[in-house]
Amino acid sequence: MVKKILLAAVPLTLILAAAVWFFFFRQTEESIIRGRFREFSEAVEKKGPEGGITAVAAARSLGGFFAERTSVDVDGLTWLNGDYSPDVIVANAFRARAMFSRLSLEFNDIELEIRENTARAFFTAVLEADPKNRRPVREIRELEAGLRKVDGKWVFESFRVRAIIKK
Amino acid sequence: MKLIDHEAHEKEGKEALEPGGFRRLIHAFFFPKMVRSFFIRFLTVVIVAWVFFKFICLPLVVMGGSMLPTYAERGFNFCWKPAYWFSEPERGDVVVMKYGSDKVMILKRLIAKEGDTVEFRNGKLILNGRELDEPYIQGPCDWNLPPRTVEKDHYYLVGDNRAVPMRRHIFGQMHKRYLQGVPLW
Repeated sequence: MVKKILLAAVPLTLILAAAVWFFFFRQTEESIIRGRFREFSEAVEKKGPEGGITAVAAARSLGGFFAERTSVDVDGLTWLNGDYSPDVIVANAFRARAMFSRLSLEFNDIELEIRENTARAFFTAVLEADPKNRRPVREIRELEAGLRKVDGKWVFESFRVRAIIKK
Repeated sequence: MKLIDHEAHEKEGKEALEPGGFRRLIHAFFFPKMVRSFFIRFLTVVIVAWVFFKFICLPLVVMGGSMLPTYAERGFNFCWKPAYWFSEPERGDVVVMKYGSDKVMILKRLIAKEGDTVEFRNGKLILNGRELDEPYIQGPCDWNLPPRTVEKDHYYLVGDNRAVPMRRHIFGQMHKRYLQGVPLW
């Protein structure tokens, strides 16, 4: 009896494991892009005061997420619109991170449209930050990002930022 | 293999009917015997509760007074998600929308759908050129907003408390993918 149960349990467990792997752990372009969002979020995060070298390393790591030219279009902040190189983004990120004692950027509701080497992502971003000597900030925006696969790595090449609720 | 200890169940049931049985039942409830059937029951309750409160009926606390007087500030409620699983919300419904993350929702009244034209004129809501009767609004309102057409796949949401200045009130059109459900009461 025990032998029969074991004989039945082994293939069932294998099928279950294969299904779990297929639905949750299989590496697809979609899962890779979602992983890039997680990595980006971790790279932006600042948990507390950091030293100069750590701050430079954190800002520099952000450069690897962007294409040679990244276009930015922010609703209501026209002075921010334009094309940026990774170096400019790193410099701006360094300055911006220095303004906050704590910073986190969370991406939610990510919807992806993937073509061969390009992808469009629609998502919401929640920025939570503690500016030095000011009240905490919580900003929510709706974003559309364009991504391109360069040398086997997905990088951002455009951002359109919109208010999530618009009067 | 016996998954549920029927004998233990029957014994518990009989004991409950005996004199002083109720006390024993209460004792058994708070200090259960660590038998297999208890762990199965416990696990079932935890899983069912998790699924129910995570995907079907989300507990929420109303922060802010944008829905006054319909919903009081700091009031407790639930978001009933199945409400729009098989239907679309109607104009006038109070809906719960996801606001950035799973942790924050906004509670607003849906006043217009895609293609509708919305305008505020001296505090009166004009929907598709007609003044809307809104009995749920109390207090003065002096809002003025030029007409705008609701975009495709969007809802136009406004709170009931229009006594606050317009610039301080979070309202406007929002994509329908953020729709979560309705408040339970």
